[in-house]
Amino acid sequence: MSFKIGIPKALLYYKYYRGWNKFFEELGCEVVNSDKSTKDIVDKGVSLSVDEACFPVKLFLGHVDYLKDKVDYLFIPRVISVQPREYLCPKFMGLPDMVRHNIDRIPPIIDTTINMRSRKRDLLKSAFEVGDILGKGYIEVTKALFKALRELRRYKKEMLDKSHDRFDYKIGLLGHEYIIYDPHVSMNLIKKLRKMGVDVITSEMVDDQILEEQAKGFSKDMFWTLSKSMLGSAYHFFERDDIDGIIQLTAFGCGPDSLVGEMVERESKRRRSQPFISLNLDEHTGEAGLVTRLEAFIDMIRWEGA
Amino acid sequence: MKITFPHMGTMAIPAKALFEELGFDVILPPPITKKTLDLGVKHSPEFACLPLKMNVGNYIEALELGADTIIMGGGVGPCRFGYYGEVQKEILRDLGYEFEMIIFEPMQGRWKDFYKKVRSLLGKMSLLKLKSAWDKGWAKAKAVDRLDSLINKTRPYLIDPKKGTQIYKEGLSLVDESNDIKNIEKSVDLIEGRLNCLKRKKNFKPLKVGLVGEIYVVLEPFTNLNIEEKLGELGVLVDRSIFLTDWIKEHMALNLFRDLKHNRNVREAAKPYLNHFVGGHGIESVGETVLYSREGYDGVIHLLPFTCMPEIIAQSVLPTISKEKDIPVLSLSVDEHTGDAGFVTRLEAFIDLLARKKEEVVV
Repeated sequence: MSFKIGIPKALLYYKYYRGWNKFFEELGCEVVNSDKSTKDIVDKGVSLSVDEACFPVKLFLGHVDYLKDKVDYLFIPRVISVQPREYLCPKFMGLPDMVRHNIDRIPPIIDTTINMRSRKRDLLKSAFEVGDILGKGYIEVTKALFKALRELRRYKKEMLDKSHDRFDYKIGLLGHEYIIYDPHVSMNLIKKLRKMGVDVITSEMVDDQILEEQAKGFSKDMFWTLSKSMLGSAYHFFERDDIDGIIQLTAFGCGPDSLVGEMVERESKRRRSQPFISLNLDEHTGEAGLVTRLEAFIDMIRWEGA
Repeated sequence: MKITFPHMGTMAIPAKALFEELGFDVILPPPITKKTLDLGVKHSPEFACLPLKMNVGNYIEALELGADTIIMGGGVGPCRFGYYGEVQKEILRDLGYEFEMIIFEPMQGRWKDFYKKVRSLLGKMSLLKLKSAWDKGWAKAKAVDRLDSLINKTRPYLIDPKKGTQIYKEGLSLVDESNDIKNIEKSVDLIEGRLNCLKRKKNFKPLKVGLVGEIYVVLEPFTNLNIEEKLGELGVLVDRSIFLTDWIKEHMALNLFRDLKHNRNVREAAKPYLNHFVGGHGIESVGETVLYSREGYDGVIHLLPFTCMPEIIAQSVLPTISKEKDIPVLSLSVDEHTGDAGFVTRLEAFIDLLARKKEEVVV
């Protein structure tokens, strides 16, 4: 029997969807992704979650609500860690619980724990657990996992080759994938910038090795994986002469960003190498205000360049 | 070397004893006031959680008094506290202060690492001296915790609760001034005796409320607007789920801690609702709430700093527990904008609700 697996289009979806989709398809399941974020989904999520949750979590709940009647299972793993000795933000650890206790009448959740804090190969254990739920054998699951991992590597490689030379200016964009690549949340920021003749580089377009190298220079190891790559790419952008400015996108209520963003901002003020702007987004952010600030920022870069 | 460290409730009393016994000059940050908060808020990131801002305020005031070495705790995540020290260092450096910051990372069960860190601070100091200093600090920590739970158990019964608070404060200074371990225990006994002599209400059965949440805002009366005192004066028996000594044990990672019976119980109780550690005290907040409901408490108050990540997970789960276990839960998030009047109104409304619920049960 083929199951319908629902994967909400929010949070880690943007980092891993190619792998996740591939994994479940290889196991003979039908993958249902939620729709693109819309105002309705945002409003639903805001009404379902506690006031203080960060904007991305609220959005996630909206997507779950959209999916809940359309699938047999929801895939909401409890992601503790994806790198040895590191963590993700606590909210990923409690995500299945936040969903379960805030949304009524939801289908069963595949809330397998993914914890690679001690060893990377623990991922296989998690994959087996998912396989058990779906009634799939070890060999089948291992095969699916390897195909999924290969898909993820391919995705990463595609991202690396994505920067262009045909633009006049280049901007480094800092922020979580689930913010900058969600067209509704970021209000199509990347498209808007390209239309203004500005190329965008994000941390996914930077080689992992470089990020890792940069991150070694901090006085204390960063223990949040996503923030580590943000901090690493910021330092990388500071040093690159071909990058004319840096934009940092954060979401309201994001805990790690509140500290890491501050570190980046202070370092940029000290270095004075490029213009820097930090934009904080939430469900109330208006497009007009964002565009005005962007335009002003780009104008400033043009003056500097002239 | 003039040492300072941030305030957290009564922590300054044992910490000061520890460092002075080791032979350091200690410059305590002045008691937390509105000015401390304002300084912290002004220089800290806007969306950082409240404890970070309070720490920064403490540091600035202490550095102005001449301190040159800051002692701070660290962590390995996932709660933001683990990165506090790094950010605070940058903030103070950018303000132009000259200082050294020593961050104690949890030793994750290895005494050797901890010893090395202590060595870097102490130089060639004998282990014996270290032990005697630790013993004294620990005795004081236990003493202030005992005072805290004594006053909470006594206050609701008193005809004049303010008098009780006054004796409690005298007790704190007695412990602070005591020089040897025997004296410390004696002064707490003395205070217990004095509290027992106060006039009490007759035939009075107080409402019982459990206090759970993020440790800093639970322990620091300035940030929770003296919630224990306020509840006590309303005639409510408050039981705090978390104490200073708990935090020390946990942070110094006396690795036995995880196996302690109570801690296991908490995790067990939280299991149906939150089955995984989420950093900070998220799982404790959930587990303790379940335990309070089992022990027949009338309600639970959950305190958290605005945007606290682990506690938001707990906050999302608590309504379900409240419904299933039929125990009212009030989540109060505090930050620099929390006003006394609004806070008290909500507390009073909550207590009214508890009282009415109890009457209904009796009828």
